[in-house]
Amino acid sequence: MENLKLKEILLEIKNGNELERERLIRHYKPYILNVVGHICKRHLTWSNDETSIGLIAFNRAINTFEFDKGRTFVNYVYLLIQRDIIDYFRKEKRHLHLVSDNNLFDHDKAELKASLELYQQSTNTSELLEEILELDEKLSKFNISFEQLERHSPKHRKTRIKVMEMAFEFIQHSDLVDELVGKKVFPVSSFTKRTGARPKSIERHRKYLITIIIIQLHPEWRRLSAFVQAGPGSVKI
Amino acid sequence: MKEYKIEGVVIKVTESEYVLFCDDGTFRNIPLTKDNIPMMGERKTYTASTRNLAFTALSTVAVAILFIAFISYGVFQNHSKTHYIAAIDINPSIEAYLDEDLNVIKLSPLNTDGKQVVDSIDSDGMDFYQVVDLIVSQSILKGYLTTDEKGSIETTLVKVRNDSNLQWEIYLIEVIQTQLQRKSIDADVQVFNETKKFYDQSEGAGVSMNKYRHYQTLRNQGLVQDIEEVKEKSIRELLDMILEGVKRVPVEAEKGKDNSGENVKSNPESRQNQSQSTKGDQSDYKQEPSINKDVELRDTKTRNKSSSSENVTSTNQKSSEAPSNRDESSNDNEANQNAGMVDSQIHSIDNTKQKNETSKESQIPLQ
Repeated sequence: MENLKLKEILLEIKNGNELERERLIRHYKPYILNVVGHICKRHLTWSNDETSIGLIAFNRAINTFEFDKGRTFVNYVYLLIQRDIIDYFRKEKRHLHLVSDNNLFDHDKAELKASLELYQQSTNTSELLEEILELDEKLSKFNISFEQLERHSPKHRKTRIKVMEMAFEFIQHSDLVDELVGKKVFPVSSFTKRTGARPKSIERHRKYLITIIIIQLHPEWRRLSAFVQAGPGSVKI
Repeated sequence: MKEYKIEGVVIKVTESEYVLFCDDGTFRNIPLTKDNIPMMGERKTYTASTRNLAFTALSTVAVAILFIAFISYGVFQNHSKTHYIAAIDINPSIEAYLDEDLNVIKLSPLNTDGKQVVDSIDSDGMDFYQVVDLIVSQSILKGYLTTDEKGSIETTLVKVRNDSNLQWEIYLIEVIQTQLQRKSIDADVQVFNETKKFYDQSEGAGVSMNKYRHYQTLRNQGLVQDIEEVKEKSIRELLDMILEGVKRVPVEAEKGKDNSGENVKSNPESRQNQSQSTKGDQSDYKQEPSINKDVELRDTKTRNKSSSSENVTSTNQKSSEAPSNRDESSNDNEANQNAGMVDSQIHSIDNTKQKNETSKESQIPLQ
C-alpha cells in the first residue's frame, strides 16, 4: 500500500469510517499473524490469545500512527504487537509465579534482539512487505495461494524463461489483460491463437503464469518485479 | 548427495512451511524448523540436497546385491542343513524341513489350514516327533480331526541327502497314535518314504507329496484330469474319491464276470440268454465298461508297482479296517489272485469288444 493511499485511509478511519478500518485490518491480517507467530516462536491461529492481542495492538496502531514521526506503519505495528505480547507473557508468568531472574534476563535479551530486528525491518522489508500483501490479496481473487505456486513453478531454467516471456507477451495484449482481470480466468484459447503457445504448457504453469502477469502488471512493485525479469540474470534485492 | 542453496524472500508462513520467492522467480515451500518462524519479507537462504543419479543407481545396485546375498545365504544355510523333508497332511497341509537328527529347521504351511496350525506352533528346538505331536493336537483343537468323523493322517518323508539313513516310521506312528488315543480320535495313519524326484514333482505341481500321490492314483483311474481338482481337497476326500472309483470298477467287473465267468460256465443256457440280453442292452453300456476295466487293470498294475517301489506303513486307529487299507487289500487280493482272474478280466474286455463290434454290426442295418 502506497504511503499516500495509506495516509488517506488512516485519516478516513480516524474520521469514523469503520468500513475502511475493517478493510485495512483484513489487508494486514497475514502480517499480524506472522508477527505474532514470529514473536511467540510458534505457529498460531486466530483462536489463540496471542493473535487476539496482536489484533488489538494493530487496531491501536491504526488509531495512534502518525506519519510525521519518521517510521513506517508496518514497523509501528510490529513494535506495538511486540510490546503487547511481551506484556502479556509477563502478566501470565507473574500470575503463574514462574518469573525468575533468568527469565527476565532472557526477556531483556529478547527485547534487545527484537529492537535490532526492528531496525532491520524498518530499513529493508516494509516496502517489500507491502508489495507481498498486495500481491497476496490480488492472487486470492484468482483462488491462488502462495503455497500452491511451488507445484506450478517451472523446474528448468529454459521453461522458466519461456513462461516469463509468455507473461511478457500476454501483457502486450490489453484485451487479454482486461479479460484476465475482469473475469479472473486466463484466456487460454485466445492467447494460444495469437501467440501459438501450447495450451498444455499454459495449463501446467497456469497459476505461476498468472502470478508473473500480475507482478508484471504492477511495475510500482519494484522489489517483486526484480524477481520476475525475463532471462537468466534475476536481480537480488 | 549434492547440496545447493536456494535464496529468496519469505512471502508466506503456514503451519508447517514457509513460501520462499526465489531469486530465479520460482516459488519453493520450505519446511519450518522448530522455534523459528520467519518474518514475511525476510531474506532466507535454504540449503537443499539433491540426489545424485549415479549415487542413486549405485545405492540401488548395492541394496540389490546385499538382498540377493542375504537370500542366497539363507537358502544355502537351509539347504546345507536340511537332510529330510516331511509332508504331513490331515486337512492342514504342512511341510517340515529336518536336519540329520530330525530336528525341525523350518515349518512351511502348504494351505490356509496349514498356516493356521503353523502359526500356533513354536517349533524352535523341537524334533520332528514333537512337532508332529503338536500338529496333531492343534488339528484336534482346531477341529480338523473330530471324534464324530473318521480322519486321515498321511506323512511322507524324503531323504534330501543320500547319506542319511533313518528308521523313523514306527516311532512316528506311535507318536500320532498316542495323541489320537488320548483325544479318542478315529483316524487312519499312514507313513510313506519317497524319493527326492517325487518331492520335486509334487513341488512342481504345487501340492504336498501326499496329495500328489493321490492325484497320481486318481489320474490313473481317470477320475481327475488336472492337479487343480485335487488342490483344494482334503486327504479324506481324496481317499473317498479313490474308494468310489475302486468300488465302481469291481461292480462293473462283476457284471463282466456274470457275462463271461463261472456263472456262464455253470449254466451254458443262461450264457446264451445273457449274451443275448447283453446284446440287447448294448445301447446302454456301449464302450464305457471296457474303458473302465482297462483303467482298473492299469491302475492295479501301477499300484502294485508303486507298492513295490515305496515303503508304505499303515495302521488304523480304532477302526478295524481303514478305507485306504480296504483299497489296498482289494488291490492285494486282486494282485494275489491267480492269473486266471486277470485273464478272465482281459477275456471279459475282449468279449465286450466283440459284443460291441457285434452290436455295432447289428445296429448298422437298423440305422
